[in-house]
Amino acid sequence: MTNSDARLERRYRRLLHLYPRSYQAKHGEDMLGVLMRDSKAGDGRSRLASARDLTRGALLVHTRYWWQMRAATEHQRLAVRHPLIVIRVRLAVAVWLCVLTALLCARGDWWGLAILLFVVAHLVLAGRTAARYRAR
Amino acid sequence: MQEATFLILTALAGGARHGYGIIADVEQISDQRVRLKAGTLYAALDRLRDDGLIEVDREEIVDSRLRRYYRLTAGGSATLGEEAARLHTHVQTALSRLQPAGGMGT
Repeated sequence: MTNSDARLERRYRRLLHLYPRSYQAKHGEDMLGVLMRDSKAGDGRSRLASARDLTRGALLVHTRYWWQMRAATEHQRLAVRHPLIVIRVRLAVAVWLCVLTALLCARGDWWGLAILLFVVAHLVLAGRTAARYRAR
Repeated sequence: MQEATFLILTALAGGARHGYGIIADVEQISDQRVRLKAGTLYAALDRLRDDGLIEVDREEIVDSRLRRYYRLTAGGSATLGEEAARLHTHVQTALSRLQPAGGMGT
């Protein structure tokens, strides 16, 4: 590797640090190979365009990862910020499902007992939110 | 679907390719009009992989550098097929409207 190649590689490595760490771990080395190969085929302007493209790509990836994380944690954040609302809604749903089960059983539709599984699930999740709330 | 995404999927429809292979193939498919840069290419590959449209085929070490090959998944082939059919319909409509009226003009 020539001195100029080593300098260029260092420059690209610095730019790759703009990306999220998990992205660097997944694609960093692979990207570096493509960047170095591309730079051999191109001139100074092409290298400048690569650097600009890396910066733009880093911004896009950060934005996408941020959205993904936000969507995944939406429910947890709601439970953390408004635990009492989440607990009350879950209890109300559980009560409503109990009433529905009773109505179905009264009509002789015994399959309605299966709904009790959802009642248990809501009660367990409400209990977990309550436990986290008390622990704060 | 963005043009770059369509071209990347089209390149992979021809078989498993690594990053630079995709760049070269996209350049050829687009008649030298589109030359993808690494930042754009890998951001697209990362997204397509998350969406389940492509997957890693294999990894090789060439000149002490990692080279990861990607291939289309069944979902990726279906998505590309749908998009190609959609574009084909649009192209046919555009071409038929650009045909000379052939004496039917008012």
